[in-house]
Amino acid sequence: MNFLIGAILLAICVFVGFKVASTYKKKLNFVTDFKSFLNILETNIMFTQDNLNKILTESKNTFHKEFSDFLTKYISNQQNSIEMLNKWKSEQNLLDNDTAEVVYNFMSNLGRNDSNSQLQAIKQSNEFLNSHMDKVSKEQTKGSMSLKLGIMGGLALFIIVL
Amino acid sequence: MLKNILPMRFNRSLDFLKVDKLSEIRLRVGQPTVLNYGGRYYLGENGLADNEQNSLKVASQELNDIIFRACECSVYAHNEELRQGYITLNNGVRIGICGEVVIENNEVKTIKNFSSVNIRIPHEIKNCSLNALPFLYDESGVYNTLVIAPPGAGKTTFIRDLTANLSDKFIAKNILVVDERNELGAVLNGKAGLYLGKFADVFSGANKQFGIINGIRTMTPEVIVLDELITAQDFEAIRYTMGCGVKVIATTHSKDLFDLAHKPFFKDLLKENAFERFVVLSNRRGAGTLEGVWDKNNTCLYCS
Repeated sequence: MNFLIGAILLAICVFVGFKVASTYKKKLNFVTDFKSFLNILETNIMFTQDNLNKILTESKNTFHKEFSDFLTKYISNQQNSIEMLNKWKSEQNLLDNDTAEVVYNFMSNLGRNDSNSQLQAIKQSNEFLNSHMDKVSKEQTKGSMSLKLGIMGGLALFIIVL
Repeated sequence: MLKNILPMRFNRSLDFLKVDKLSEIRLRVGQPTVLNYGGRYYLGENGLADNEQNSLKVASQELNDIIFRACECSVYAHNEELRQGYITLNNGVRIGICGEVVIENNEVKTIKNFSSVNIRIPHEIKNCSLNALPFLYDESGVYNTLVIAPPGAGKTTFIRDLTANLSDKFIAKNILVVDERNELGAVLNGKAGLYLGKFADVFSGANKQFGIINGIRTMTPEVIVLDELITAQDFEAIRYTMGCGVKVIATTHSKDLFDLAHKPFFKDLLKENAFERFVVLSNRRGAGTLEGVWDKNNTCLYCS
């Protein structure tokens, strides 16, 4: 019986640690994917001038699930994206407020500007993200620590219960 | 296509009208919407409105959204067109744009803070050029022809039909259409949306110089069709074409031959007798009224 309770506690602790770690991982994925997306956009605007729909559709599968899902939603609401972005901003809990605001501002004006202004907007968002990447990377180490803590805490509880 | 770009309330109102009668929609921020629907009318909530007060008025954000949608959500991809003040949709619908012009180093960079748009819907009027056609060619071939008309008098519709008729009539003639604004052929994915005849090649989106020089080199045309001669480069391109022994059919904005002689660049061309035929169109009995066909000696060959 004690063994079973210990095992359950271990599983719960590992699960919580894993969840916390994966949240940080998802956040890092989203931010790095958004950065890659900005680079793809910049290249396309400078050289091919392809339509946004083509760029988004062709690139969305190269990203992690979090950002790919976000882009899929954006594509299907492209003409009235503000409503979708407002909903996303109020519901999302992955990104901190500043990053979410940058993503929101960029996406809500995406495709609405001439190429110079669009490139300027990409540059500004990139500058913010560059200054923010250190913080996100540090959080990622917190994530792996949480997983380790979960495992160790779970094991400790398991031993105590036994 | 028009429905994809207009705000919902405008679409609902346009449902009450016959789209094939509609040739122009003018939207100005905060001002009544005006239609060319076989005459000038206001657009109300349920089709045409009796007066200005009952007319739909477009908001600034709605106007921005129209341009955003017309650019397929990618305004940056239409920079070159925007610089010239228009966007052409895939079906040949042309949207003229007014707003704040941004100039950098004496060059127009773009237009921003849009204030009004003029949506022009092209129509195919089959055989509208038939009355003029017999005067525009002889057994040796097609004459260098200039179609003259004020804005909105049906020049583009006329030369589209003329091209189709010439193309179908002279099977052996290769006709090259340099369609700078994609209004003549409305080519999408290599297929012309508007009929230009079975034997016409279309360079769409290319400026006249590029279209002519590359077209003559690669497509060996016998006739080149161009819309709206405006800039000095257009006239250089015309001279080059004529110098190559290729015939030209072109259009320009003017009321008549007298006014044309006072337009910049035309004086020299007229002196040189570069054009052999002049077709004058007007709005007198509706767009596309054929006023007459003149030869280079100013002799009226056909007068209405």
